[in-house]
Amino acid sequence: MTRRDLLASAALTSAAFAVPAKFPKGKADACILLWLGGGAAHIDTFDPKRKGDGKKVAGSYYHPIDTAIKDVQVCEHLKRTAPLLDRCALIRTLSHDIVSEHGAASNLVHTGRMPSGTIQYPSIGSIVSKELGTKDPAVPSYVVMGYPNITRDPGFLGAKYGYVYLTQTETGPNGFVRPPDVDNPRQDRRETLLAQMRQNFEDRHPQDQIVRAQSAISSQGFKMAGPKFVNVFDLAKESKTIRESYGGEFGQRCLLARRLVQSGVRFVEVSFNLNFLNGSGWDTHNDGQTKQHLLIQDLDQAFARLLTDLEESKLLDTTLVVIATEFGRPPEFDSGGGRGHHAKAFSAVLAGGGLKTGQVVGVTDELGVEPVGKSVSIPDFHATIHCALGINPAKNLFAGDRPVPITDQGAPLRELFS
Amino acid sequence: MAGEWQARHDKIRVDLAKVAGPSVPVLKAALPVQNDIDRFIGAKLADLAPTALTTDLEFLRRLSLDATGVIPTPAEIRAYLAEAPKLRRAKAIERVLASSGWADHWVAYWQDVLAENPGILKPDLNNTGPFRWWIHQSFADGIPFDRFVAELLSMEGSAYQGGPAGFAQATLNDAPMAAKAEIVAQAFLGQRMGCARCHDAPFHPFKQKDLFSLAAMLQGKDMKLPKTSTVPMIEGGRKPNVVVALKPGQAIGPEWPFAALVSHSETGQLPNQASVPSRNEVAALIIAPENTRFPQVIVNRIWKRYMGLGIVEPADDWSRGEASHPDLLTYLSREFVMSRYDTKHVARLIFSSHAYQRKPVADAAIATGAKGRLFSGPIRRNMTAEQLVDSLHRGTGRAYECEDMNLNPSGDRPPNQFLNLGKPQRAWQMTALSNERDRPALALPIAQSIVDVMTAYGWRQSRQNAATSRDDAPSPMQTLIIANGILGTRMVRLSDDSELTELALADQPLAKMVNEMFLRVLSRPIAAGELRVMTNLLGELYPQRKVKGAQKIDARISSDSRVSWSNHLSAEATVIRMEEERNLRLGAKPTARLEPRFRERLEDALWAMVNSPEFVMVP
Repeated sequence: MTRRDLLASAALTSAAFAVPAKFPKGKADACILLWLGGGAAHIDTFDPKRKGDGKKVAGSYYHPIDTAIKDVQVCEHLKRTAPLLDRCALIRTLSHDIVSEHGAASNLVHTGRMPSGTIQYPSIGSIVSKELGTKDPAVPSYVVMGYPNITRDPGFLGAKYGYVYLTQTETGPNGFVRPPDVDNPRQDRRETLLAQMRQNFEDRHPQDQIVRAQSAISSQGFKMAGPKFVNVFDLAKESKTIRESYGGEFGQRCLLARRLVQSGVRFVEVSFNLNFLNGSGWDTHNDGQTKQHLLIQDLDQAFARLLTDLEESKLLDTTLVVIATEFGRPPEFDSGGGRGHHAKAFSAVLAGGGLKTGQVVGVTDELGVEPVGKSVSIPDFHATIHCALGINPAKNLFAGDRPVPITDQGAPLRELFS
Repeated sequence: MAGEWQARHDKIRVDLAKVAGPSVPVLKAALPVQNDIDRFIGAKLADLAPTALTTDLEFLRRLSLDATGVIPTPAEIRAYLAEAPKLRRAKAIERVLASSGWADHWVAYWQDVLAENPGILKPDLNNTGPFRWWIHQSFADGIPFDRFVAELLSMEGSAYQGGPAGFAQATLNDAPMAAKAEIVAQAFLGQRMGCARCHDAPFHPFKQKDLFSLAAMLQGKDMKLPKTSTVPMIEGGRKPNVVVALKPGQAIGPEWPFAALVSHSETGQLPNQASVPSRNEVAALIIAPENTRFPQVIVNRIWKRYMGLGIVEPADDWSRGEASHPDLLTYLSREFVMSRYDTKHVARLIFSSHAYQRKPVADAAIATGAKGRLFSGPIRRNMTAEQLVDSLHRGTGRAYECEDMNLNPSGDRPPNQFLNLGKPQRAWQMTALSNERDRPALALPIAQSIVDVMTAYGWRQSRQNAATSRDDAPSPMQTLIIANGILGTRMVRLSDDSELTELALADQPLAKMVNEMFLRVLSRPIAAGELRVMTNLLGELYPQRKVKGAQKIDARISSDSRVSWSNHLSAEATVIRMEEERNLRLGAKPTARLEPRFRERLEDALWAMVNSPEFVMVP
């Protein structure tokens, strides 16, 4: 009997580890996380306030427009998303206190915890991919379009719950797509030579079960990069109309995310890190602010199209779409006309997943500095995402024998569930 | 300093010589014996037959990997085979122990066990300084291991240039010295205290007070229990199943928690005197000759590294299991101490034993079951991430290419924000790429392609906590990243910077050329069946393989070093790096000096060799 068995046994479970069987459930079985790396200014996007002047007067940089939610406005550059906001739930009072450092803040939002030094906490993508399991063995459960970094890593869950990643849509994930100079005949020749070498090696180690096992895993790898999965990355398989309707590179990534979800991927993180648009990406200090509207417009076109595409494909109810960022930005402008960091109150968006959409959670003060009333912690945010995906927000994960609550005392936002 | 350690060791040796060691068994059956290790192993084998001895070339490949972290060169293979058969293994052991690779290969191990975790960009995720350089230097200089421990625990020297002061760091950690106490207890005493960070350990004999008492000794003063290092007690809420005896804010004073192992030492003051006196105390107690746990833990670690399993398992948690061969453990411990804590001496004993030189256990039930620790043979291992990357380079005859591990080449920022870890020449010099900001302008594409391979093979880019074993079970991703990945593709490309291109161009029969390739990549001559396959593949095109008048093409990968932290937020910086990523994927420009169809076939053969399970499985 393992220690985990002991813990789970009736004698110890009692009230201490009893996990409530009932929790609010959404309908999602897959999640697309749109990550606005850098800290997207909430009052310039989803929580507009009175206008500032980009210099000494604090406030939003753009005008607000009406949306499909009564009395709720968003930034003017989100004009395609605005009429679709009834498919969304806007959280305006996300709050934490890591405002100095992108790495630490991003890690907090992805893993829900501060690093402890005893174990490494897993990212939400790894947790979701583990809890939901593999939908299709030919397809990995967790894909990242962005850079590998520890905020996305599986931590104590182990390499099995890691991700496949790509940094540019046309290149595909490293390891899955063959090098451009290896066509099918060449690949056949390679695999034939490899099969011969493998056989030769096995013959020289008769009855060696370890060698046999390694050989088997080695052959299995090639099946995983089979045409079924690799073709998912081929955007040319979508019509020109659809591709163009999504817009630029970020849009193409969102289109790819839809294809990945269709093929059985459970968690797709799509990074909006197209810093060629304004240099700094969403981290709009100084003159990064000047072209921020280009980012917002790109986000708008892609997100709106993703929503309608999922809806048309009858996938919106079963796909949770999340827009998140590591923190927001203050209403004041810095000496270069941009904004610093602000984490006391900032915004996130949830859409689809069978949630009760068309509402706003939380209110911020007149310049978006502090929440008015309750705030939503990162663990609460994670708990909400887990519920949307049918994952018990009070359950324990295990790091070896050690139970680790799936969130750090987070409570889901019940108003988002029927 | 060295003289003082010498004197200390002189005294320790004199004292130890007065104590009788374990009696070496006399074997009844006719079991193979090369040294006393085999007598201890043989005495417990019962009816389990020892596996056969490895062939000379299998032994050389494994020895090279285990002692220097990389496969042997053809020159080394030839020199080895030129020695008299009865002498060649012993001579090979001496050669590898004296080589620079000895230090290289130990760095990777201690990086994991001591959680060396530098961050090259504004480190804020439980990062340390880059004390890897001090680890390397210590092994290169043959520093006695007890001195290594004392220096580490002094936590002095440079924090950012690679000294032991880097070990003291744990950025944004709520109790750095508690983290270090856990690491030290696990690394050198096999006491796994991690559970005691936040409450009394439920399955180990450690209370939270024990961990924090040791932490206070490392701190040099009382520790206050942080609120974040305890299990929260909610008023009227459920009672946790673990005992939480300490309160947040409570002060815990310095006190040695391992009196059961050792309570004081008669061996006198340490030659290395740290400026925090209680750190000296910790070091002195750990390395005290009265503390027999310390040398046992170290020799067990060394044994596990080479044999695949420890005499005690887990090697970092001695409360869990019994020693499979207690007398062998004591024997090796004594050898270690008598040798003045020389890890090479212990390695030499292990490498020289018949037990180590045997073929690995082939029966999965034995290898993974309790009988694995009877050591009828070593337990089969695959190459570690570092061994794989270094061996790919060496086997394919390519120099290490990588950007500087430095995101601020303009050098205008302080070291607590940016570290320059230099241009890697061995895989242990790689580091986490710290692109939590997800910015293309902060990408290091070549390094990323190497890190992708290493990560698939269990290397941790972020070592937030100590580990003795890696999560490196064979996986499909391991296969794919070599077969299709950027690094794997570059390794098998016959470009003008590859030694294999020169080999292919040399005037020699095809059989000789392919044989040389097999020596390089697989450390053995080509077999008859394989030669037939290669001849079928390449024989017809071989005579016309050279392209007359073709010039060498510079295949080096360019990396624009103008991109630095200070300008990385410009759109141009992003575009430059994204272009570099795309170019890298195209692979190195192939040589024009070989006829293309021949070159492609030869690359395919090379691809098959490095993708064969034989390449990655240690013989």
